[in-house]
Amino acid sequence: MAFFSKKEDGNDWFVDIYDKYEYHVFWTAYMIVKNKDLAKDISQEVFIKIYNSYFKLKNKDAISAWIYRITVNTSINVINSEKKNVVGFDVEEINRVIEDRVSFQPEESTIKTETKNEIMEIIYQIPDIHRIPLILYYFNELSYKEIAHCLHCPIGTVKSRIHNGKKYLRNMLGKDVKNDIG
Amino acid sequence: MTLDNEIKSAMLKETEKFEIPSDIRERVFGEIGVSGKRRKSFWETYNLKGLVTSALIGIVIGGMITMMVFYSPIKESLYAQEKFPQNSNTVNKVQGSEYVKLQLLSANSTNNIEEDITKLYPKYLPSNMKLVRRAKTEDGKGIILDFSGNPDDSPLRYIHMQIIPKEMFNIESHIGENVTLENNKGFLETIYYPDGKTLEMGSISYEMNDTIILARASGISKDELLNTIDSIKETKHLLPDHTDDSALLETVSNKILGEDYYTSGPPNIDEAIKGIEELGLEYELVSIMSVEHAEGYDGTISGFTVREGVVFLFVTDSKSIKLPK
Repeated sequence: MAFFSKKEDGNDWFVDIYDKYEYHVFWTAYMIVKNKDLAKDISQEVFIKIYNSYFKLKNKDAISAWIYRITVNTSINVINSEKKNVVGFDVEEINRVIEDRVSFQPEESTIKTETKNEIMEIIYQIPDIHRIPLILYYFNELSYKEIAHCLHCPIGTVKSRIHNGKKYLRNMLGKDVKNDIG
Repeated sequence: MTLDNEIKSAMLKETEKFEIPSDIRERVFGEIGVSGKRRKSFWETYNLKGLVTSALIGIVIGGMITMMVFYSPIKESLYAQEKFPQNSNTVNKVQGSEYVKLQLLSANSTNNIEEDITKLYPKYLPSNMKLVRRAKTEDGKGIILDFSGNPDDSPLRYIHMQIIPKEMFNIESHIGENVTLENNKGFLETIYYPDGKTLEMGSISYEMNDTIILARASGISKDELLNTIDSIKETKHLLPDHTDDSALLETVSNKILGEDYYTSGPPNIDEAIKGIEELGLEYELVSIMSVEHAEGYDGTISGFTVREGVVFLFVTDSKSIKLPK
């Protein structure tokens, strides 16, 4: 019956979802890939996946985490295919890089960061494996549990990745770590 | 301004760099072949929404009453029992959503756990618990051991254990978990047990020599966890080379579910079993547990674990199995 046809007449649900999540999907993708054109492609792919898969989603209450999960995974896939960044999760290498950067002394740095743009530039330097949880936590305001769900990893891993990302950021900003642990 | 606020503010500021390209919307709705505008519904057009909604609510309530009167939950229980013949001890009562754990017996076992894990395997484990997963830590310098098992009608029971070099232990990464230093030897204890007996996401850290054992657990007593750790402490050879199940785990999960499973949601039991059988694996249902106890994975696949060719597959399936409360 055409009146209830999903394709023809029943797409208000999708319009609602699109309107609600367009902002976060696009900017989450952008903050992961830092490329406007790629973020556009990712957004398009994400919403088409949502359209095709929404009715298979059994737990509709978890739609936010589901959408962000698709966004993150699509972004990682796109980056991998573009080969523009290290997101193959060579964890050993990534942790070595993080440790090198964390041990970097801000006093010796020529970087003086106070503006928000500069904070974002530092965030963009953080490897994806640590930056993506930061984006989900601060920009999308997901809980640790939701991020764990989204990234398919234990909550403890989420906490440590966010902590390490912040630690790196603090060092680069020259902040007192002890006064700002959260 | 705190760093938290600075990060949030910087990310919000980032979104002001430019407008979201309007052609995304056109491309999305063009691709799926529908209008991107919200259609004014029949209900809205004729202002019938309230009336129809009331009628629908009445029908739904009437239907629910009918279901409660005529539809016995025993039918669903029998369905589950018939579909998955099993030892009754392995089926647990569930609340709301369900988890079904399928134990898959692989014909192509590639790992021999006894060769490389014996030295680390605890002599003591709480009853019905088994080693279900081993992997390297992210830095590759430590070992992760997961134990699981659900006897009787207890909620999900597990121990997640990390054995790591002391220098890799970062107490700051555990901030927020109520870490307290118990003594000068570095014994840390972070336990939550609301009823004073059963751990709920409890964790314990032991320091011995140059090694830390960090254990999280749920559904077991504090003593059981301590005894498990004690029994592993006796070993002198920590951190040996060991087999990492991750690659096999990924291969199996991709084969069974497809690489895009995250976009389509979890499979139902029939689909999962079909995939398993296509892989030529034997399987048996070993337990059902409430998804509500699976921290972080409510309503979705929780993951896969492999040991000695045994795959533990967690699948939600609200369609075929609904056990009575």
